[in-house]
Amino acid sequence: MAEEIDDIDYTDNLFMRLLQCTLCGQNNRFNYEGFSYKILQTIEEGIYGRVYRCRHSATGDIVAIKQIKFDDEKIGVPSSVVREVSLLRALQHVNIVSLLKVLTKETYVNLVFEPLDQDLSHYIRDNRGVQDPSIRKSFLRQILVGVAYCHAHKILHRDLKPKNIWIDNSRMIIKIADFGLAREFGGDMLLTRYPPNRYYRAPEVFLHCQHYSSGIDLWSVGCIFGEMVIGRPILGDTCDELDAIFRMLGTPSEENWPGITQFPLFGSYAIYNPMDLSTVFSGLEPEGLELLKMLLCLDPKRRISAETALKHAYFKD
Amino acid sequence: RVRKRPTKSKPVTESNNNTSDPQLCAPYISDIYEYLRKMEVDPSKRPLADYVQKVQSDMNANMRGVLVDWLVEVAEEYNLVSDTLFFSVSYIDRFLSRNALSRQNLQLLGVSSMLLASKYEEIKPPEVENFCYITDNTYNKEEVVEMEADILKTLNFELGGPTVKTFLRHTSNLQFEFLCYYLAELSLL
Repeated sequence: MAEEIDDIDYTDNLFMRLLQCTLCGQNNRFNYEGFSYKILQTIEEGIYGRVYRCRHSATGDIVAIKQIKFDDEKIGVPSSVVREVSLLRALQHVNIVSLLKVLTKETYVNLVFEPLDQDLSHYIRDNRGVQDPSIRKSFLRQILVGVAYCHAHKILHRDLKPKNIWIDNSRMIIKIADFGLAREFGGDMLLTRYPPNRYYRAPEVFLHCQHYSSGIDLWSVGCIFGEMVIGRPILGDTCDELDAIFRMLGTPSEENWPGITQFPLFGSYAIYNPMDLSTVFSGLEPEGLELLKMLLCLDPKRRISAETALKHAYFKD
Repeated sequence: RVRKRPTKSKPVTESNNNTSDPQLCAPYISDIYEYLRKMEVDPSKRPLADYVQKVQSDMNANMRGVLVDWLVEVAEEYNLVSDTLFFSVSYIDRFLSRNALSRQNLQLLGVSSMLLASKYEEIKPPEVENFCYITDNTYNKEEVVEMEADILKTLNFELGGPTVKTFLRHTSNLQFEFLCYYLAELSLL
């Protein structure tokens, strides 16, 4: 891994080195020390840049290249890239996308990943959820294994959603990707208020709890699990997600979430009774429903951890 | 001069209500410490103890001390958390263990390391120009950004990992905790 960095002669001046390291040339090719990656397909286009499917000119290896453009070269490498790359360097696991190479240039960086086929959001859209119970179970188990691995390595993903979860089609292996919002936890830092994507955002984040922790990732996993069952985001179309969460799960009280009334924002929410989740998520096995409820536990302190979730009866067989 | 008070720190009293760190979730604590220990002893992530003699030709240990001392002030000026300071010093030592640097560029290495550490750790890292300004514009933005790329390559983008600060957490005695912070910062010099 990362051989290109060691191959570089540090006595050259930096600019020449960067040029040698990556030359993005014409004809849809990424040149790299004489070799290049031929772009086969654009897999995804986002605000940060693009993800391409490429083939290496010499080895024929298929890879995915995420090209991230910098707004302004004078700010250097954006902090999302600094975090994504350094965190992925620390994470090597079958359920986490593996970063093969980093090719830097002045105004963008190319992250070379193992090949990715499709993301879970496409899979859910094309198949109206993950209807096969054994595939659904396998996907959830792999997501939890990946998340447990991150948490054991002191890393919060903070942006888990079907779009950031990739599937290796041939072997049906889940790969968690996109660590641009991830960070180490446990430091002095109060964490920023607004990750991740609103549909998958945990209630404590909506309530501006700054000491949130690994529970926010588990909440997102719960949302993804539910989405695999019903084929669409569990909260549906709403402009007030927290209200929608309370409508589904019932408005919490001091009884099931000690300390909830201390949040200044909490007072403005209506009191709802919980819905019958077995009708909302009809088609889910009883053990699965029980696990889903533990993932979508409103109080982050009582929410199940990834480690414990993997020992749940749902995964017994 | 090392500061008499520890750098900005999490509201200690609040986290002391329970003995564990609110952000370190209980099921993973032993896994996390095992992992941190493994990272800590990994030779590829450690600076050489004697790089000043072995690798450097133009600088000495005193100059390193002056640089670290100055970075403490920079961290204070821009309200950086202490993890950022500890990371900066770690990047500097790891960089200097692998590359000989002229004394003219030592301060540049210092600010670029702190820029990177801020990008890794802070919610709102200071801008590149803040780091130029604090050197009295001795270096321009291009130089700071070039050095940043240099550090990233030397460190192979491995910016995480434990510092002394990582292990300074669970105490129930404020005085003792502050003493630990003070000693930890002294140990940077």
